[in-house]
Amino acid sequence: MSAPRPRSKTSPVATVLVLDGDVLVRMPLCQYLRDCGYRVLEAASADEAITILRKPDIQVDVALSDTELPGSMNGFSFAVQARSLRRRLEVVLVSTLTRAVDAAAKLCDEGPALMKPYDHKLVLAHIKRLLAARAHNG
Amino acid sequence: MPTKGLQILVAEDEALVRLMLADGLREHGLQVIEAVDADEALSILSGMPIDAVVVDLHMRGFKDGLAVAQYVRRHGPTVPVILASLETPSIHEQPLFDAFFEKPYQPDAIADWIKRHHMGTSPLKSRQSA
Repeated sequence: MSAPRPRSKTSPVATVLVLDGDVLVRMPLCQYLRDCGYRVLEAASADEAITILRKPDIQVDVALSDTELPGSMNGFSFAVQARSLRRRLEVVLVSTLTRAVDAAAKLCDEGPALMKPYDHKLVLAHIKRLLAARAHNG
Repeated sequence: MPTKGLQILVAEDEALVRLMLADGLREHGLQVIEAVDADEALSILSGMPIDAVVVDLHMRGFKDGLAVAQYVRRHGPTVPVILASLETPSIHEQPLFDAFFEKPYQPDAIADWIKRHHMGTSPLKSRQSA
């Protein structure tokens, strides 16, 4: 397998790496950030995120991570390791779903498009609906 | 039949491979949902409409790409399932898949296949809306 197609280190499009172990949370968050104009990379665990950060050709400007992650490393341990790999990386840790969505909305405010594509509360409601449907389906 | 905005589910447990594939498909205007294993893929498939599935055969966890393909065949038999794997499927497994791309593959080739073969089939609907 060839290496991932790298983006230029000077790419004007800021890249956010989203870490969340639940696909039903991660997916809408990532889509919201993409709609804001960011390039978004996804990781379900700290190990996956570290694998990405170890590739110097892959631009990552911000890591948005849940504090609770599957695997051997939680969000705090990830933040320490991530900053040791990328000194200038901004790491945003969030401990609840509401804070994750708020953090994404804040990134949108500061983001490349300087606008939110839609109300971030819709993202929160969407995630809650997905989680409820999964619980209902067992 | 317009293909931009088609929802493609990618199930691949190697982060860098998934990143490359998802990026490559997005560059073709496809909407990509990333799953890191079969459980995540099944979670997505049961919750939202999907137009095509690209899946690795062996992934970490108890379930694999076959479980994903079998789910699609049961719930949305017209939805294309593309196997993107290092291993060739066995003769018994082959009917589950519409196409096979051996690693290392070019994401452009998979995107082209999806665009060529999307004939406006009904997307796989969630169990709730089906």
